[in-house]
Amino acid sequence: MSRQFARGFALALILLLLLPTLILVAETRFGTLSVLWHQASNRGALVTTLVSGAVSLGLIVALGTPAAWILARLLSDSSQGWIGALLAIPLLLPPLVLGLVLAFLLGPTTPVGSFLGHLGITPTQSLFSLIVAEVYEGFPYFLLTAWAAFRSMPIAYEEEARVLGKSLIDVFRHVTWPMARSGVIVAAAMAWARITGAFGAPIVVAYHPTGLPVAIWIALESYGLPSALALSTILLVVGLPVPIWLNWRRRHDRSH
Amino acid sequence: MTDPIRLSRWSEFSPGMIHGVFGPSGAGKTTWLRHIIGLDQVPAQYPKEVAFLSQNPHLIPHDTIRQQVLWFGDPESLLRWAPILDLSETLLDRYPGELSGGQYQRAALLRVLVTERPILVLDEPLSQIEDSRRFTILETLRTYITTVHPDRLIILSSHHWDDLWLVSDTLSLREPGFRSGPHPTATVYRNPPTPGFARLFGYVASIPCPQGGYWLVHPMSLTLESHHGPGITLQGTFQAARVGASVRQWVFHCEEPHIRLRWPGLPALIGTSLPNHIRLVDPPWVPYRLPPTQEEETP
Repeated sequence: MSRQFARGFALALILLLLLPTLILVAETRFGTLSVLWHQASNRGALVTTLVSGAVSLGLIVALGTPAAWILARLLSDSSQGWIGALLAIPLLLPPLVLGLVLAFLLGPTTPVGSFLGHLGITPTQSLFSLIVAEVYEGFPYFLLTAWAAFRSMPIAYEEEARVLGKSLIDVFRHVTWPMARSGVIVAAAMAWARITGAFGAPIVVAYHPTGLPVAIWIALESYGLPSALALSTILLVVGLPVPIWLNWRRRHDRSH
Repeated sequence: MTDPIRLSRWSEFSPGMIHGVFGPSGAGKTTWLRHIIGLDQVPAQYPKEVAFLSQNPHLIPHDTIRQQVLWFGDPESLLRWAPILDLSETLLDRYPGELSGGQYQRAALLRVLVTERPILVLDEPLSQIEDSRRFTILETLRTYITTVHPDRLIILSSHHWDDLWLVSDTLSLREPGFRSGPHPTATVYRNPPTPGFARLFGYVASIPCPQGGYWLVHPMSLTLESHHGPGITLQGTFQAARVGASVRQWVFHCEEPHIRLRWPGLPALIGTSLPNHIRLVDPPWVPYRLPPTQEEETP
């Protein structure tokens, strides 16, 4: 009885949570998709999201992985508790508020903005500001998840390799990384979903170049709900496969 | 072995010897070993001359035993040590998760031995290993350190007296709030510094000495026949006591002093005629009384 109940419960839960996705897919007409695909602005939004997203994810993983390791390994438990509490603030910061703060910081007349202008970087309404916004939205998610992955791994694995003569770098590559990889992959998947769906901050600092979420907003304003829903399907297709694939890879890794 | 400060940490341990660290569980043996290596410092020190085997080893889960052993040492060392530790070719190609507790511990010991470092610090290396293999390994370690590499040294901790008293040249004793040594093992054995260590060394009772202090009784120092040499004779009666379905004990009631000696054994060895006296061969003298255990107090 209990197993049947659990199965039924799981099925109901999944249906409830997947309902918006199912409606979205059911309501999407191929014709609408094809029309949207032939609009250059939509294709441009897709390219913008993919390019900026790839750069952002690369930056987040490259900076966040060593940062998470340093937090987990070089700090005492009590200071890790404090830092965890502090990092919850950027995690919970409403994206729109983040966008306003970034606009305030990066505006062309501000010191940071004019400095960037001297370097030849357009500080707002540019690929640069879109990437900054996406990195800020995705980084806390990546860092906290990857940090938890390193913390959950007993330090003894690394310590014993160190005490038998292996360097820090060797131990990271040979011991730490293979064990923490699946957790870091989950962290990257979460960051990717956040990056491709980033809307609140980009609408303030990166209306142009337009990424998919902002393009959906424009479609809703200009053409109404059906167009917006069809574009949303494209965003879903862009945002979900990476997390799902990475999650599958992780299970695949575990089974070995 | 270049830094004189580091070297001074090991100066009390002579090369070519096995140095035992003995004490009950929770006596701070691990804490002390980690301290003399420098693992408790911030940041931790990993001295190049030391190979350390943790009491609770963590083998790399995604490497086979052979892969990780070859990561830490060379193939010749692997060939030399694997047969001694009874790790077959099949076992070497397994992952740590596929090993039993004893195999896991032997694999961890192999990983430490192949580093061929001059100071081996082994924290409870044999706790999971069955007796027959344990003594082979200890014997090999002894030969290795006394004959093959007398320039090296081994520090070995255990809470099993049997692991240490035959193979270690010196002993350091650890009890909560108490530390002594290293001293030569034979000296320590005849001079247990506390009643707690006297029990751990296998002494079962104490007998008041007319000149003051006490003699310690060890089952191995008792004889039933007359024995020429130093010793004392105790008059009394024997009893064979059953403690369970299969466990039996000797019980010997001494008349004077009024004392009961009790130790595990097979009363059948005595035969039908129980002697009315036993001889205690060359008993060690200590200033304290060895209090009876709880079971001895109950009538």
